[in-house]
Amino acid sequence: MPFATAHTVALNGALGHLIDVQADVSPGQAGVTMVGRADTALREGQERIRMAVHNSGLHWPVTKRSTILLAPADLRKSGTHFDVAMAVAVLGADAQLPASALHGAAFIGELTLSGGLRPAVGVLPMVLAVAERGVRRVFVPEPQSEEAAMVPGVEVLGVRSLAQVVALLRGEEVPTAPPVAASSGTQLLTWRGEERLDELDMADLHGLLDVKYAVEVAAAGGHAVLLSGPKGAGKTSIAERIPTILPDLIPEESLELTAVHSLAGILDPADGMLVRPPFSAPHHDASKASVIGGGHGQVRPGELSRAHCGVLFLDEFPLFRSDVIDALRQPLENGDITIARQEESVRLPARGLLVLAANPCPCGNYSNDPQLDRCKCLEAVRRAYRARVSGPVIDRIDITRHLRPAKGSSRDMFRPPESSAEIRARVTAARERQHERFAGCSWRLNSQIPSPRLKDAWPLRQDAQALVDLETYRGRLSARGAVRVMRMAWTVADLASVRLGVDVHPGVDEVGVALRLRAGQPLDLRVAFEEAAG
Amino acid sequence: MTETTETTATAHQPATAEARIALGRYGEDVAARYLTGQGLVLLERNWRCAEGELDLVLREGEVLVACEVKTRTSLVAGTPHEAITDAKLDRLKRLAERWAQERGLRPPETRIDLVAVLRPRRGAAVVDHVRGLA
Repeated sequence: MPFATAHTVALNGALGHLIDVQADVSPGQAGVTMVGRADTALREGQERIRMAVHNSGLHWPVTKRSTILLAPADLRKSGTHFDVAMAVAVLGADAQLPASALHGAAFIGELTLSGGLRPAVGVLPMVLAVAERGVRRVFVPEPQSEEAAMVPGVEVLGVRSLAQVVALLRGEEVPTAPPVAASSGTQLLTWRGEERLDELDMADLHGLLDVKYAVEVAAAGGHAVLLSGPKGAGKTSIAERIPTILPDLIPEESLELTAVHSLAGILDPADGMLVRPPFSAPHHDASKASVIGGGHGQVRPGELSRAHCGVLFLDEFPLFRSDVIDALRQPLENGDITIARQEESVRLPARGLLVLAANPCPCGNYSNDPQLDRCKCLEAVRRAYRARVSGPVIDRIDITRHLRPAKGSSRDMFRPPESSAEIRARVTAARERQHERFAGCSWRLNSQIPSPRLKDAWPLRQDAQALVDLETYRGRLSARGAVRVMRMAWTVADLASVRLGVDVHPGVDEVGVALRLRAGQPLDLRVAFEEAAG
Repeated sequence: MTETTETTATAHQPATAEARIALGRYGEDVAARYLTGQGLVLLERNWRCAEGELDLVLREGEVLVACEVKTRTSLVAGTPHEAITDAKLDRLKRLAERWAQERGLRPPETRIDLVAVLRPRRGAAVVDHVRGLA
């Protein structure tokens, strides 16, 4: 039978499709025909595999007609990692490989003319996809074998050349081959102090107790934050330190984030699984494609998805392009982002903690206090600037904090500031309470509870609910705002439970704190830190 | 590497035009004998018109077969199979139709075949018959 099938994967955003590469080698006009909606880079593969087979000491069926089908034929396929699967399918069809060898295996890799493999991008999500579809053996370029091995239940074979793949399939001794060249992209610049974020700690910041409590709530429940205030007030300093109070990723999150980074091509194989929450701070000039995701051909995850399970910090938020600002609405509601393309729409995870920072005016010197006001902006400019901060995105922000420039007297006189580790312990405990509560649900944190479920399954105490309803009735809270306050009340209660060591159900106090956090009013920290009072 | 390939190529190529024609004729003889041995009926050899030439015209049952013969002494310049391009195949189809038209024939089916004859310096010639090029 002049026919064989090999498996590989096509990536469509974070979605992997199992692809059958079928090859038929029959008499006819000599040549290669390829069908199945392949893009140019993939189509060029037929030239690569022909020479790769030839230069691997194998025989390409030159006198016959090879037809290669990529099925499902209606799915658009792009990328160059189909080469190995196409080559082995042709060799199988030409009876150069045992027919059973291709069964249950998937092949990922681009070939060079000499028969060597080149590294591939997105191997982790690809292997995840094929593992779900019953594939038990995957052949990947050697540098990606560690990445692929993160997927349980799959035998990973890291290979350097087509000859090695063929030898493994035939059960022969594996020939030596030069190592696979590193990925073509390389860090052009490295500099001292590049990793400065590793050194940060909340203990570096004195005072700001109110803001620190707010970000603790944000970190514990995943609630979006807006930090506003004049320059020098500590907005950036706080935001940069939020990852330090987040716990290590749970295995599930770790796999998701690593898959996103693999897709973005920024995963260093030497690093293994990502376990620390990422921090991403795009500049306000960034394009929509770079923040949200997109690009030509293969969809690349943007900063938003790269910060999945971590922190996305947008400094000078009002200066961001309006299309970027508008595109933030969906991830703020759903925890994912859909990128619509001409022929497909791609969903990427985007459950990072969103932290926005805004100056009160373009020059950053405006203050309500006339004594401190050094703003030189025109009133109209200032108003236009503020208009950008308001609107639909702001309604989706849970916590607003106004920061003041630090004064000498604001240093903590009585006790040193808490370290990140201390805060992180509380955040971790609060998150563990949530994981327990939401076991078996599709969400993990309070901020992600779907609103219908919130009212049914996790109601507030009756008087607390009445307070929320009253605020809504008075028009101080939108319907969306009310739901967000209720979610946040659960987080406040979780943190209180951790501090006090008893089970706190969200009541009037917790809702009161949540309302103040949302409205940007200063907190009475004695309410928040009941332990200190009692 | 290119240079050595070229020298070998010329070494394997018949030196003169006469020798090339002789080789072609030899290949066609071999092909004709092979095909008639397979039960095909030879109708005409080297039929020419303004557009080109058909090496062998045969009949297999009710099917009209126009056969292109490619003869090689080595595979240095690629296999004979690879020498059939889309354009050549189109021309062969047109020629076959024209041949039938000139003879007032209406075959229910027309097919283009290829016979590749490899005649190494030593040993017997190898014949490969490809039925129905696309």
